[in-house]
Amino acid sequence: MEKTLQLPAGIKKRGLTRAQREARRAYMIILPYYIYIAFWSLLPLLIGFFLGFTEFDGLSGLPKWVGLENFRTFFATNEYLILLWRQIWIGMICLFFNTVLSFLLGLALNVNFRIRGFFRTTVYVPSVAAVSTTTAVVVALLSPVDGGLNKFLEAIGVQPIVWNYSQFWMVFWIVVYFVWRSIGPAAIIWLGGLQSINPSLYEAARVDGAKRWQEIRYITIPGLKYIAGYIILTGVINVMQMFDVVMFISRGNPYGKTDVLMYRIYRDGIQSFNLGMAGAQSIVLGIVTIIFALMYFRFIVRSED
Amino acid sequence: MKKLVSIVLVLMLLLSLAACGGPDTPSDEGTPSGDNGASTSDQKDKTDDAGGEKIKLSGTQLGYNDDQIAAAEAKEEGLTPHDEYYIAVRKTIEEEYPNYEVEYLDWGWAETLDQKQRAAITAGDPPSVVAGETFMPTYANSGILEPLPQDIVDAVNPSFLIKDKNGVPMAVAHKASIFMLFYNKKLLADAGLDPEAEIKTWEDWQNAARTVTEKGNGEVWGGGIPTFPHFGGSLRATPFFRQKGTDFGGGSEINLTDPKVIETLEFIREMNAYFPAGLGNNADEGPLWEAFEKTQNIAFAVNGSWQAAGAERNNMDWGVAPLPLPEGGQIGNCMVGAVYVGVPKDAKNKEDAFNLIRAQLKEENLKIWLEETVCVPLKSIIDNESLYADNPTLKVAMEAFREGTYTGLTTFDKNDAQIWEIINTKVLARVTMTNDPIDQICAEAQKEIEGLLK
Repeated sequence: MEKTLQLPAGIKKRGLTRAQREARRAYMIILPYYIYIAFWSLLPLLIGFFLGFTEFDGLSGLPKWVGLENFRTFFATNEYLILLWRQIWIGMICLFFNTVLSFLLGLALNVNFRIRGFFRTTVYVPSVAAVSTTTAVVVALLSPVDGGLNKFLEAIGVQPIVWNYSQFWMVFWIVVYFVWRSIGPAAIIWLGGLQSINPSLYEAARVDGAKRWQEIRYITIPGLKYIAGYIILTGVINVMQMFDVVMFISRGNPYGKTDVLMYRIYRDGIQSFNLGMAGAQSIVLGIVTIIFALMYFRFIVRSED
Repeated sequence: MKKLVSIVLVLMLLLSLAACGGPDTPSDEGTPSGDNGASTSDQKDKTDDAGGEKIKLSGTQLGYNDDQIAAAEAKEEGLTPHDEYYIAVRKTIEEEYPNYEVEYLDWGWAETLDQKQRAAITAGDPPSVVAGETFMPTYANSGILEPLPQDIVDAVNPSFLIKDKNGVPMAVAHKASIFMLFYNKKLLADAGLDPEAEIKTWEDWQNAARTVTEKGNGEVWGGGIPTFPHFGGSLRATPFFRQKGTDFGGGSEINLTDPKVIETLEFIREMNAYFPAGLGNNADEGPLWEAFEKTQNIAFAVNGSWQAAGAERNNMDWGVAPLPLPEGGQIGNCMVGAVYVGVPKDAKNKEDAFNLIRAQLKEENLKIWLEETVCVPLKSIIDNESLYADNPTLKVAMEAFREGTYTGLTTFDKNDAQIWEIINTKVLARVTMTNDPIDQICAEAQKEIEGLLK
């Protein structure tokens, strides 16, 4: 039998409402995770922000406050702006192909066939393989003399290509690798979205004589709007932070033509120990990323609402 | 407030390392390897048998810790001279300084080591001995190192020292090399050249490389000066600039518009024609060394003393010579593969820390390196030719050390790594990847670097 505690007479209960108690309980549950995230994400973010206004090499003394000097260098030096622009256009090519191809893959995985489960697992594998290992395979394939790709070209009578002499080819392989690695998780999310669409809508469309393309145009795509929003938003953030693929595949070559801002931040920060400049670049890149995200929200998601 | 800022900075560096460092993986065979920063921490807080307080010391690239010894002893092929040296140093320290309690840190090599050392230095608690290669001149010039004692300076060849801006020796290498010209005798003979003929000048080398390439019909190549778009390129190119009496600059200066720099770059571009396209300036060095050692279709290689082991391992009929000189040029080279050690000013027990370096420089320990064709700093070894009479590579290298003094790559006051990257990619690699006018390449890079030096 359930017991109910009674307050003594004369004492007015001033406790929290049920909603407040639930909220407090929820906050207590997430508190340890919040502290963890604050320590590993928020604190470095704040310190990085602070460093953007200093000159500091991690060796000789404390950071020297230089105000906006690092930002002045960023905008006055053409080199940094070129790297920012390259981060944007290479990133957007990656994002475009990854979004479109993962959508098509998601559609394919949604078709009923016997070994569908096997294929769903297979497309996810590249994203869990170590970047350093898989890029080493790509680099070996692209080797100008004994690389697998050139051997193949020679075998079919095509002149070998010195891949690393060409900005076009190095960007091409960066995009290919990025999409190969990222397509699986995005396709699985698309698939989740596809399976959440009410099948009766398709049945009704078929009764009305809709063709397959019309089903996709009028049922599938509108039904995936929020999934698309998630994939594109996280995709924008990913490509604006992309540097490992560049570092491992091209190292910014040929002669800096595939270098991007995020890779430069990495090098300024922990190779040159120009931590102030690295902080300033991070702030600029962060602001640009936020602007892109807001623009997407404002003009694409909200306008459709 | 200052203390608070220090704590925050240390936290920041630690967080950066946690985020970017990843597990410690030794970069190559040339550096001590083993666990992930494990140390003999189980020995901490002990007192000696007499009951007195032990002197606590620590160091990177100093000697092997227990885990590293266990890993070395577990190798099927047995201990390498590299392993034997670092174990011997530890043994020397334990025998000669029983009152020392030493933590043998394995903090990796290159960037990983630099990051960890800087974090410790910023925290005000650096190891007793810090180590490194390309970044050690920056440490020396930043005033964070204690000057080396005179007995160490007097005992070693000056090429093995790093001096600060005022010429005061701050760090010493217990191993290093310079670049030499290795060649495949069979390929030279196949091309109708005399493999025993001396290659003394740039012209001799260029003629030989051209002949091998022409006779090779697209299968065999002469080889030239590698311009890999990273330090592997600049290290190998630098000796040729120094032979012309010039360099890339240093400190707050950049010197790319010097006519001698441009002349040297023209020679580098001409020599690149004797590589298969894309091999001498590939980001991955591996295919070039494989072509020289394994497939043996490149006749010449500019490399350090370790190349001898690779040639032997692959049963190559090989020879070695000093780098050829330009007409009217001077002897010039660049230290490479060096492990420099120094004592930070903020280290505790600094005098004892120098004893650890003395243990590394002990003659019987350094002689172990000779088995691996590695050059060592002690004058007593360099001057005693009988110790390496049967090793042609060491004979060439040690003679060079007796005849001249060399330094590592020049260092810049600001943005050193970034400046070198511009030199590696936008100067050296671009010169060999494109037909762009060299003076234009140099002018563009000069302008960009000047901005970084402001």
